[in-house]
Amino acid sequence: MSSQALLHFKNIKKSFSGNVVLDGVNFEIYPGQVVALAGENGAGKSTLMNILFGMSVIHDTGGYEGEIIFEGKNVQIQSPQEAMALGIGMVHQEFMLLPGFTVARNIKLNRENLVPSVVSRIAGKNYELLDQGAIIGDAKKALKRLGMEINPQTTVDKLPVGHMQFVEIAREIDKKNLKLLVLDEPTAVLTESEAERFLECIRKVADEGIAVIFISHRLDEVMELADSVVILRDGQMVFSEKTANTNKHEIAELMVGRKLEAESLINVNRNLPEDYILEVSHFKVNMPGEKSKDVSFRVKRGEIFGIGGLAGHGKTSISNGIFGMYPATGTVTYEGKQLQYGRVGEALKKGMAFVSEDRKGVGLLLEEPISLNMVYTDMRVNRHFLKKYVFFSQFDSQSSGQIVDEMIRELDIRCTGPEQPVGRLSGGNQQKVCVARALITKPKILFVSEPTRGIDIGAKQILLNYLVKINKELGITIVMTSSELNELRSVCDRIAIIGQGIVQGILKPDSPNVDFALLMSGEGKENSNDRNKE
Amino acid sequence: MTGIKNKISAFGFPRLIIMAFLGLLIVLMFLMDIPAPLTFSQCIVRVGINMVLGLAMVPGIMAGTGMNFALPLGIECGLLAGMISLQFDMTGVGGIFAAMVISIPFSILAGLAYSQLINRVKGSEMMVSTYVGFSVVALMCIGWLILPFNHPSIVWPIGDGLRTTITLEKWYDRALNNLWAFSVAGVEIPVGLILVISVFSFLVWLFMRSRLGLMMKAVGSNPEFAKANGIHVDSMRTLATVISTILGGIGIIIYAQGFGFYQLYNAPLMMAFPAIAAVLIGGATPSRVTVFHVVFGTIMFQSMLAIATPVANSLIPEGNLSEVVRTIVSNGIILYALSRMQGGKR
Amino acid sequence: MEHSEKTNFTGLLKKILVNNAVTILFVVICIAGIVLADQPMPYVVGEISSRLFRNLILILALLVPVWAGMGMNFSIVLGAMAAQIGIMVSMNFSVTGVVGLVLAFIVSVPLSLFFGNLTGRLFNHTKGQEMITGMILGFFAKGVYDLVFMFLCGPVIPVKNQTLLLPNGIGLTTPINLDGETKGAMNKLWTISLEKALYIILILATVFFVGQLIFKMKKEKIDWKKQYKLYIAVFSLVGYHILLTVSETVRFALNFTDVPVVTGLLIGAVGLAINFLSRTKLGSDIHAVGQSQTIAVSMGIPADKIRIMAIMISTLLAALGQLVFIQDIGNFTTYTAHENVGTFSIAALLVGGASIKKANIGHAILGALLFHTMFIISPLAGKNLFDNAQLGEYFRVFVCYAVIAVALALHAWKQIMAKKAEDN
Repeated sequence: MSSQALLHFKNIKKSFSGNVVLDGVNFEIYPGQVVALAGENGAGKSTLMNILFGMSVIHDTGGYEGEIIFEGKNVQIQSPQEAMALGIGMVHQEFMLLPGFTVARNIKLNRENLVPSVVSRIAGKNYELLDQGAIIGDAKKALKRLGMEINPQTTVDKLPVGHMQFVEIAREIDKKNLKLLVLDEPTAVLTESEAERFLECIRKVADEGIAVIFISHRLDEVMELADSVVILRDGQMVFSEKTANTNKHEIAELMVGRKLEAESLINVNRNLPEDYILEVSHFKVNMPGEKSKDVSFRVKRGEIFGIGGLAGHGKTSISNGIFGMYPATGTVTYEGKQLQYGRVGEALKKGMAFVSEDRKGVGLLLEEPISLNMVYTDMRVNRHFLKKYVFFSQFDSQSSGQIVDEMIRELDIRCTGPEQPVGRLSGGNQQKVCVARALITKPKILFVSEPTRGIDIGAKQILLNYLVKINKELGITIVMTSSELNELRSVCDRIAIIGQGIVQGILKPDSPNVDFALLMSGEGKENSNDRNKE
Repeated sequence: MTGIKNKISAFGFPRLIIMAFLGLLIVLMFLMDIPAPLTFSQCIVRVGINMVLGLAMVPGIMAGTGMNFALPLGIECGLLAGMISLQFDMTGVGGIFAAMVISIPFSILAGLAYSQLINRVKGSEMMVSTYVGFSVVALMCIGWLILPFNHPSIVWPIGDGLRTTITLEKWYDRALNNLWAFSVAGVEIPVGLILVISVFSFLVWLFMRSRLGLMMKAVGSNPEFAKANGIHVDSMRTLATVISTILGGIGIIIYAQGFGFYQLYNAPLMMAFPAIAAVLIGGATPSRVTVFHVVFGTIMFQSMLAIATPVANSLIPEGNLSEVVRTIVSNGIILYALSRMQGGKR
Repeated sequence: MEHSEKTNFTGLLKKILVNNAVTILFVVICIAGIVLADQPMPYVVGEISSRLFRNLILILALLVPVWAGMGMNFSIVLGAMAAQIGIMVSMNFSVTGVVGLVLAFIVSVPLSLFFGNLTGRLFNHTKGQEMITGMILGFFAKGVYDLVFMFLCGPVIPVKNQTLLLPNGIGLTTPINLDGETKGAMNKLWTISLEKALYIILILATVFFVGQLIFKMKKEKIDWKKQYKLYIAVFSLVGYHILLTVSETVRFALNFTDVPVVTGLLIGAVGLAINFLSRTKLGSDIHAVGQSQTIAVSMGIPADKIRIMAIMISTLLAALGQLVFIQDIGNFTTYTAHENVGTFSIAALLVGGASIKKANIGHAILGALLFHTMFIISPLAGKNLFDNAQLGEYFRVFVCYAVIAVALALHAWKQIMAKKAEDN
């Protein structure tokens, strides 16, 4: 290892409109070193990478503080092109491959080997011919360096998904000046044997003297591959150490981190009777990007049941499946009867209500006023707020006005009045409208997904308090899905952790941090079965 | 200053231009001594007979199938019903209503069939519907040739098929226009026509505020929201298509009686475009529309055309300047609307 | 095992049938039409051949935007207008013959590039809706064109050649007739019989493939099973020769038909240029943008600029195509000649088996052949079948629109199904 660091993050700080997302990140990477970057969703990993690549989201929101030292020079990277020119490459979670092009053409995309033609001498470089032979040759070489046997002349759409990741890396290492390679959860789509091969492949890259930043949730892989580990939590760097000096449990513990105050766990010791309002068994939902494979759990009447887990592992698909948003199989028993969840609107008719994780995409009619948004579901499902005439009905804004005003007061929605379009409200107030819409239907069970995503602290607290209140006072059972573990722990009776599309285990809110972290990284199945039965 | 700017952009730049142009035309009309009462009378009639065709755009936009470029489908249904009413010598206001009633089953069938297609091509509705409209017009050209109509006044005296243009004098030429009509300062007020279009506008307005209308609106502005609220997206789109087709059929009958002719064969080919342009001028977008947009837009656009015709003719007697103006304005406004769609949901 | 192979085969057959439904349907329509029309072969062959030479460049003009993922370029109407303006200019200065055509082309080049550039910019504002935008733009442009040539020519824009103007001096006359020397100037330069032309083409193709093979043989081993291009060429040559010796009627029909060599060479040159383009860096970028703008941009390809380039190339070729078209016919209706250029060319390309996402020169040639056969045959067939030529005429218009509607609908539907399959 050479003495000079290739890249040095010096006290990096970043905030989005007053919200601090990165605070004091400091670490170094040396040539040939693999650094694992770990942390929960929203810990600031992607923001840090966006800063490194000079993405416009960073500049558009006022830039960042601190210094990036690359090869001993202070750099201010303004665009991804600049990052590329410096020799920084990235392999994204989504494949950046053109399906109709061959592997070779993808590897050399926009860096094709060209030979001059008659026309190009007059009309310019655009009219130089592609040198197919050289393109295929270079591609072969790059794939060989990775130890991969892929025919460079097959088109990408005929390639197994597991191979695409390798093509992406081949593209990066084919760049002559590549010095640093960033991999964002590269093994998420790979099978176990593919993942193993992939790690070997990364090792080879590192052995050539290229530094690697490896973002992953799979702690085994981190331990196996990385030379050192950096952990971010709530935007702060909480750990930076050689892999040899730590272990899986410590990393897991540190990722989840925060000590929880005992009194903040509201529902930790409620003993509810064994009366199950909802039973889900072998539930499989085909929601793109959030597939669940085989989920079973039971929810007690009057309980607040939490569903947690990492993004992409299928936790959000469960409520979406129950409400017919995506095709699903398995049985859902509600109040002792099987629910025909495949039929659109069936769950609503049976007295269930849903607050979607996708506030703007699913939860609201953005151009319509608060009042219509709030009463919409009740109007639609229970035919309330309508004046009925002989053969047609009219929306009755008067009768809806009262309950809308009440909700605006109760949830402290900041608006100019009930007729303000919801698109103009802040995220927190929009979320309150969504919750109000669900509650006006007077549900027996309420599903809320990501209730506090992207909203400010004040609104967060109001919403959580309100959920606890309606659970206590009105006896509404709540199933809450969230990526924020602390939020789940603070209000839930029990929390199911979903990983790889199945229930990894069900924990009490006061279970140790490390248990949560291990379940999340998909390593709890074997030792969680006993807990599952409690 | 910025306040004014915001207001202008909210009101829509093209609407301002068209209002200014309309103002200029009115000034020119007075300057050139064109008889104002006559022109205004024509204005009212033109606005009236085009209104229901504009209303036909409402359900499609509400349900998210966009501007209904397949309006000729409904128009052909209306024309077919109209031909039947002529064949059986239904005259007067009663004949008009009979034609409307006859058109409805045709429109329902055509709308249902067409919605099967439109529900399978989500995202490309506008392009597909344009060519479905064109195809139907061409197909009905064959229909007009071979359908078994035999009333001597509507078929060619020699050869096969219906005439290209059929004057309605013997049946219900301007029957609605003349119903209870009176004149104020030389301007003819076609009370019957105004009454009928008011009723249709009111019905559409009522529909938009009904439970079904609100369900349709949700499908159009956010299909995922609709689904999460237990609404069948496809059946709402089907309903919208059927209603739009029915309004298209009724619209052409009202149009024809006020115009005095039924025009067959290729005449309906481009009829969707002025209706779309009018609604857009009124302030609608490809995803949002109100009855006010239709009424205001039709008044602006058709008045402009009605006044442009005499003004253009006295400026340059040869050629059809007002036709050229119509082409430029109506397609210009549609292009403008398309270019503003970006960043929207669809 | 055998069973699965069998289902595989039927599955494949089904796929071929579904994917080429429009083309196969058209082959049937054309054959039925030819039988029903009952016309002498030389007439049919002659008509088809002349229409092929007249229309092919206009159809080829559509290819590049398809590669760029912008669908069928309905705005080639603007290119046609540029060509018409070019002809008006050369007629205004009384330049006739081939020189007149060349002048017309020179005038139309900057015009069509300018129109294409504007169109491309507009399309960048309406991504995903390029086709409907292109179509409406065509209508809009017609309005502006009418305004300029119906009202401004004469009073505002000076016109030197008074025969172009209407008697009152306002607006251009319609139709505009080319001078006797200009009419067909390019076609008349050099003609040979179709019989010979086909011989030459087939022999050249065979020679080319053999030459290519010899060149390759020096470098690598030849996989004789994969040389299907050569086999097809040789087979066609032999087949053609046998056909001519066996059937006197065919030989007579082909011998009777003259084809314009220079126009043919021009079409060949356009085809080669398009082929060349697809092998260049620009062509590669166009294909990349067509597959995914996001990925292309993230790899540093300026997608918006590439899209504008694609439309400019298309508009330029459309201008050339319309010029060839008009010089062949010898006149054009001043205010409507450009109206159907887009619709007819697009319908033809789709009939050839192209889709919104995929189109090549083969599709263009096959499509032109089938579409124009239908175009000539259907009024005649209608007359024979129903004793009504009008019926056949309406039928062909219907088919033209319906082909586009069906192709668009099929494509949209397939895309939705593919997306669904992917989600599973």
